[in-house]
Amino acid sequence: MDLPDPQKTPRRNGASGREPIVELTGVHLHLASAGGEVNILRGLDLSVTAGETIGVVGPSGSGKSTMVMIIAGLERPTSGTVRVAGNDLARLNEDALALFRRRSVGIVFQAFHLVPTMTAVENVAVPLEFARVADAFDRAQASLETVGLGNRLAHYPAQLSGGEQQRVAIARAFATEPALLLADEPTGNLDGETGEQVIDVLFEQAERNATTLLLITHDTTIARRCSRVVHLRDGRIVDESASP
Amino acid sequence: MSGDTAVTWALAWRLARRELRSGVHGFRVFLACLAVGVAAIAAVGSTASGLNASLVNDAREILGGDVSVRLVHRPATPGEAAHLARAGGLSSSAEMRAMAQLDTADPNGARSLVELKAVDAAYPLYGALETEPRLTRDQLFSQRDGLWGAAVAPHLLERLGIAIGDVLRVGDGRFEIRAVITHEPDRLGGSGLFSLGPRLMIAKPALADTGLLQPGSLIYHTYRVALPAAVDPEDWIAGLKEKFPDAGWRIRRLEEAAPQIRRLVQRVGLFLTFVGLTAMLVGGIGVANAVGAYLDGKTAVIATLKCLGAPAALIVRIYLLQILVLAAIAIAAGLVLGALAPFAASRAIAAFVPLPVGGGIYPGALATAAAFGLLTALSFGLWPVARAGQIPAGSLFRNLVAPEKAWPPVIYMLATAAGLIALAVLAVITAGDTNLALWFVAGAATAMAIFRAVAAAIAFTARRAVNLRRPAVRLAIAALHRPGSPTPRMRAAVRAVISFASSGTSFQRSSSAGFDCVIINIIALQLLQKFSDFSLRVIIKNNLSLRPPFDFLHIGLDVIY
Repeated sequence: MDLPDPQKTPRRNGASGREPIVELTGVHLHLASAGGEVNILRGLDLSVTAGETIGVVGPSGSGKSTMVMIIAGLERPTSGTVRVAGNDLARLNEDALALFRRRSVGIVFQAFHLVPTMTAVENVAVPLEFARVADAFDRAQASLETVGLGNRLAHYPAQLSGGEQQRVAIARAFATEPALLLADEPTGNLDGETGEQVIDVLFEQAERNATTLLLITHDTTIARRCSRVVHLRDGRIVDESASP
Repeated sequence: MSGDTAVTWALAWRLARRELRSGVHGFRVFLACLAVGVAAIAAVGSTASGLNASLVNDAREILGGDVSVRLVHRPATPGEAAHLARAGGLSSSAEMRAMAQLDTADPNGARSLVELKAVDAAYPLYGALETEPRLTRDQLFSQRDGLWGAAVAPHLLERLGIAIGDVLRVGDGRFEIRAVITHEPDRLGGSGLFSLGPRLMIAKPALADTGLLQPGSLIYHTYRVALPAAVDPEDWIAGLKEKFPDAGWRIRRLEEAAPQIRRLVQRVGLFLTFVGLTAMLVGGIGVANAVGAYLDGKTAVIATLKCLGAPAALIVRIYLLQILVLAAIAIAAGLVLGALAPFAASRAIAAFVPLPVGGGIYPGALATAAAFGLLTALSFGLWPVARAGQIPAGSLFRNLVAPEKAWPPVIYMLATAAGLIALAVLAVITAGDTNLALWFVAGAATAMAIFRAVAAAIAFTARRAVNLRRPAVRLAIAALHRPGSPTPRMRAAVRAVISFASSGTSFQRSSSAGFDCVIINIIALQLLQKFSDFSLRVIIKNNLSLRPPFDFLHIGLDVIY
């Protein structure tokens, strides 16, 4: 599989100039269903520069999660081009896409999606093990310590609170030091206070790792913490604004 | 396979071990199906091996000597008898069928056909005649107060309603019953399983008093010879044939000690092997169901691993290793049960086969059963595992409720086909009757195809039954064709059980000429009933119990059973 070296993937604007890490051009996605064709994305254009933090807002069904799926290589667009971290995703087969995600993308889900049979440290170590990192568990432990869970290493997800589980998921997403982190409503399953703590951790980690962050949220307050806010409606970007 | 460096067996094993921490909860049906199938085949093989071992070990006792020589209608001439006696030990007996009647004034008193056996003083050369009460030869058979003694099978007492001490009349002879025979060492080597009446044993001199020794009487005169260790039986037999080329006797060697029993063991073994194979077939369907259901529940985990960068090949290895570990547990349990079968079978089959099942571990039978188990687990488990590798990572965002079922990659389909072919080949090789085994395999494959078509027709018809007003009926019909419907799996399971039943009936019809086959069928049909009960219950519960529209069917089947 011929993928760009992740070490050369731009992590932050500045030294690398204004090089985009995500570039969506004319992306359409139509899905067939029993009730007829559904147009989920209708010509999406988006360019994200390395190191940016992007808040994506919009009503339910506007295509936010689908956009994240397409950027992560989890869904193929009907038309348009998708370039992420130097990869033209249309050219990659399923295994190459898995390798691309392992090297370049971290994902934080609304529902955490930790593996229930693995401890916190094992959950965080999994992507490192995939990457054949020799000290995977040491790095996983360090990653958990940075999100304040150094005392929860051997706990299983069922033994952790929702907030703790999401912090484990954040530690897992950042463990491989990806160039791009996609967060799909990471506070959606958390109460307000816990959600704020998780968002703090997320931004701290993004800052610490110089990671580009693309954050989907319904919460405009959280979105405004990003350097740019993108508004989606009916599968199109209808507004973009830089945060003050 | 992928060239990705993440795809290593070591990593797959680490992750599989972690997944196995959740225990065997989702695999109970898998374990049960495989363990029962392996246990059935191991039990059949071990029991047959045990019976064969007994036939070999007890051959001298069963035959009554190293060589048995039998004449019909006439005893040996003095010259022939002298030659036989010179060989070493010699014991002779005469056997015939006769009518025994309670010696009373009533001419219509109880009577029964008996297998009359008159033995000499040397009987038996090997083993011991055991009676209850234990009496000496003289006490058993000698003439006292004008009455010869006799030992009889317990069944004769029950049939005539008599007891020890009563007197029987056989021909012109009168015999006092002095004991019940509890062990006749050469019973299997004589009339074997086929007898028209219970045994009545007397002393050879007493036979003359019955007046039954008439010209043309169907009397079997048997001479058992014990040869010195230095004498090769084959050489001695060659010499006998050379010296008396026109004697017309039937000569039997140790390996021909109990031809009826040997044939029975072969037929029972063959039929029960098919029982075991059917168990495996049904078990295999259960394996596929269980693995599929387990992996359906793992969709989120698999999609998560893929989001984290796991390629499909790694997913397949992780779950294949889990299946293999669990298969090893099930196979081990099945082998333990199967290995114990010879010990347990002795009592169960004693009523049919009066031969002890040689206790012991029979590695060949166990290895065959293990091979069947492993091939079944791989052949039926690989398909759903390979399909799990195709679960899209995007399932985490959509489709989690009813993930789309993708076909596995061609290499896994070929591997599954190879596994099924290997199963068929193993069945044919180990069945002992290649022709019958080939028909069994062909029949199973054909029936599978037919029932698959029937299931498709049911789903097709159900799909078009749209104008149903009653919600319960509409839900039930919809469940027959909805995505993930158990209809095809149920069809396969029911098919297997039905084919099992029909094969039992066919076997009975095709072999009804032989008395021993009646016994085979009694054993087989009992096993059929037990196994059908078990397999249907397991599969029905696996497929239906969690699906409300089918609960009524489940309850109905429970009532039927």
